[in-house]
Amino acid sequence: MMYRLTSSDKQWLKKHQPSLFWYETAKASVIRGPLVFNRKYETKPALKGKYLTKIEFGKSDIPEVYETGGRIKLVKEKYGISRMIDLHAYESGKLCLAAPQDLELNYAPNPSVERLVEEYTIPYFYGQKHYEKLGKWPWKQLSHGPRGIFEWYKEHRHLPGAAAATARALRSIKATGVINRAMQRESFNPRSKCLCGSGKPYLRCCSYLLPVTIALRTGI
Amino acid sequence: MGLNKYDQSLNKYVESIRLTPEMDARIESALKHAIALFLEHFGDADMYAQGSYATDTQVKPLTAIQSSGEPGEFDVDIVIERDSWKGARAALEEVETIIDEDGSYSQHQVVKTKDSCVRILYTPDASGVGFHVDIVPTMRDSGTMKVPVRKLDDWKDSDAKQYANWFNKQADAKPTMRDVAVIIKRVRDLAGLNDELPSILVLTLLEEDYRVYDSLMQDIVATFARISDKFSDASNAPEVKNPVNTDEDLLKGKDYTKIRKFFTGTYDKLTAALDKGDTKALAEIFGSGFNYVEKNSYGSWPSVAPLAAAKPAYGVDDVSAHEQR
Repeated sequence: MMYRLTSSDKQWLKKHQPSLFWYETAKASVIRGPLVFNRKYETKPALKGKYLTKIEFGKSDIPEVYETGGRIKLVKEKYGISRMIDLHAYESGKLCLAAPQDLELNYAPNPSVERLVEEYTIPYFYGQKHYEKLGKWPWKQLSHGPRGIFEWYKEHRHLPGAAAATARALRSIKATGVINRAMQRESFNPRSKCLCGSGKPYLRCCSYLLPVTIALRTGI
Repeated sequence: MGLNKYDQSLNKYVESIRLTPEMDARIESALKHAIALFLEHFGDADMYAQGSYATDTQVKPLTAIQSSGEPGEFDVDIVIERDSWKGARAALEEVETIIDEDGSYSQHQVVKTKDSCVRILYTPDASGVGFHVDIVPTMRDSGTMKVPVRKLDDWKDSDAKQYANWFNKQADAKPTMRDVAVIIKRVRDLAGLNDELPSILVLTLLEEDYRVYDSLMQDIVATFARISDKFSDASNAPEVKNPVNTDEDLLKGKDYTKIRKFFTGTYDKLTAALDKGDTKALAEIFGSGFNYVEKNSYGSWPSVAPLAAAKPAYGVDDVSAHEQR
């Protein structure tokens, strides 16, 4: 069901991000405009920033966030980076805000504009500003594609629903190679090739990925 | 704050693009004259204005300079509603005869080739903007309003009165809808699409799922967003049903590509301008008449030009001369 801005969302926007504006259509609720921040995280430097942003709450539980001002593209050119995705953004301007499992398990059960902006979007843009200024990320980054999805799972596999969320994330990015490897096993065989694609058997590689394999095979 | 900061400028802009008091007076005068004349001949008739006048969404036409070409025209449709006429073509000819025989229209050109009306062209005003009156004979047949089709000597369904009633009911409940209608029509005229995108289509698209937000600018953006969404498929035009005649698709026979490009293109330009707070780009979209004025640091709208920096009584090089005095 499509997320519609609540009165708390609108009040929060008015108070904390007054330059942003919002509207709704049949297909989406949209927030856009210059998102501003002035933050300091733990041992990291204080940074200010302004990014032209579009947030779309469509039919999915997870909103899509875009940087519309082309600032990330300029950083790509500045540092001679070949792919936008290496800056955690797509060519369309859509942002890779967080691991999909994080958004599904942490954000989606309790969505709000404040959470999306404060817990995800501002830290994301803080990271971008840090990279823009200093040429490096302020904190460790997940890899892209299936590898990043596995990295998240490795660290958070104790969370309820983590395996199923990881399986869904792999399906959503159409990680065909991974899915095929999960499906090819007739029954569980510890000597089967590891899901991560290393070619090594499970037992000597990422044995912790077994629940993900099961989730992929059972279609959860 | 959001987009509220533009509202004062937008309200002034809306005022500037509505008809002037002089234009309103021309319409009133033409209406009164036509009603007096035709009621003398058709005692059984009901006479009223229809179209943009009836929905209070008239927009001032562009001058020659504004349109970079021909000046626009404003108009009023005057309906002569009767239970019956001698025939479709005969109805139009009857109206033409009355006009010809009445000396008061002798100074005006009368156009007798329009399919559903008789047009009286008035003298353009000083800026070249034209004015015309369309006299439309109509009849109600089994509850359905019909207008004549001259070429076919027959009648076709067209209930502008019911449409106006429908629109006015919606607009009265949503206070900003008429202002947004007028703005869209103005932007349409600036894009040179007044023929391709008739008012009935604009108002019908506008009304669908219309809601009032916290600011007029938000209402405008949301409207363009909604209509762009509706036109998201470039190849397949959606249906836009006439709300008072659902068999009629208002988009049928129109250039969907042009209309789609107008709405989606304007939406893209508008959001890009608002994202950056680019008031120059906003003025390009809305045309002359939109002039965004920022509040000064005291929170007031500046009413006078800032004073030029006071010149010193002596030039910098004259310091030594000053010290010597």
